[in-house]
Amino acid sequence: MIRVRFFTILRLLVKRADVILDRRGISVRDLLDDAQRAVPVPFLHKVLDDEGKMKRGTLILVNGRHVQHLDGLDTIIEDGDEVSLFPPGGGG
Amino acid sequence: MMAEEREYFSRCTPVWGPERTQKVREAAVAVAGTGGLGCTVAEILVRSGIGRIVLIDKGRVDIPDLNRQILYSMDDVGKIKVEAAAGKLREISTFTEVVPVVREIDVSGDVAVLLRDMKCAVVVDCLDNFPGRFALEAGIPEGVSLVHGGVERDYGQITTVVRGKTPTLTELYSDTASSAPGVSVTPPVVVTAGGIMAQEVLNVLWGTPSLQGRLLVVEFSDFSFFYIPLQ
Repeated sequence: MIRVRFFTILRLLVKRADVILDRRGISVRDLLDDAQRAVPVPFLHKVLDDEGKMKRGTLILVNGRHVQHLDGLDTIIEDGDEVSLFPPGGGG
Repeated sequence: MMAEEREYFSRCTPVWGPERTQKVREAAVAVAGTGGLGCTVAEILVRSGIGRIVLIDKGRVDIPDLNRQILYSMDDVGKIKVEAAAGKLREISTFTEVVPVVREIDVSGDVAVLLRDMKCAVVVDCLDNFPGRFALEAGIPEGVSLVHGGVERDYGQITTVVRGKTPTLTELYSDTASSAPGVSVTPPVVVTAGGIMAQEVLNVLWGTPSLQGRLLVVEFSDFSFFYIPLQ
């Protein structure tokens, strides 16, 4: 099982704190597509741009590590992994 | 401690004990940014009896600041923030040395020299933009902890960064973090996040950081607190 967690404005948008998906060996990109199908409101437009690249403003963390330091959206997610979508607060 | 000093701290000393209280009294902490988070962190640390607090900011008080930057009032509009904040903090307590530094935190390297000279045990990131945070982090002396906080709308996040032990802010946020000026944010989450940051500063001083290697997300829309483990 893979847990996709939504934080802050994404959680408000999809009205869910997380989704649990029965997947393994799946890329972040495909996992996000599957996660979108599992929630009542689309959210990918907040995370990816029209070309499918990561948008500024939302962190995609795999087990607490930014995917940019892994293989980006091609990072392979395995059973038991946790993916967090978190738009960090920038203000002080 | 003199009698008046003992009396000032008499409600927290029984909780912390004499050893931890003394550590707070002897510690120096730098607060980078004296906006919403910085005001709250600074006030709590001064009321907690921190020995020396260094306030770093180059801004002036503006009217939109007043709903959440708790050290300022209408009379302060137009004043240099760190000077107004220092004045208020000195009114709150005479037991802390308050050092205002009018300076922008950028990539010039000045901040590294400043932080080294000030010999602060902890640096608190209360800045309002990510480039500033990355510059601050680059200037942190070896072995010094950085307590980071950020807020937006009605949520915020807090973590403690130690070079070589935790992900850095640069690694965590990379270039995906947006930094639009004039972020919308509500007073309760600012004061809450600032309060948590102040407690974490004390935890670090006592050698027991709670947020090293994990990010605490404070969410007021549904009143939830979550951790994201970091590696």
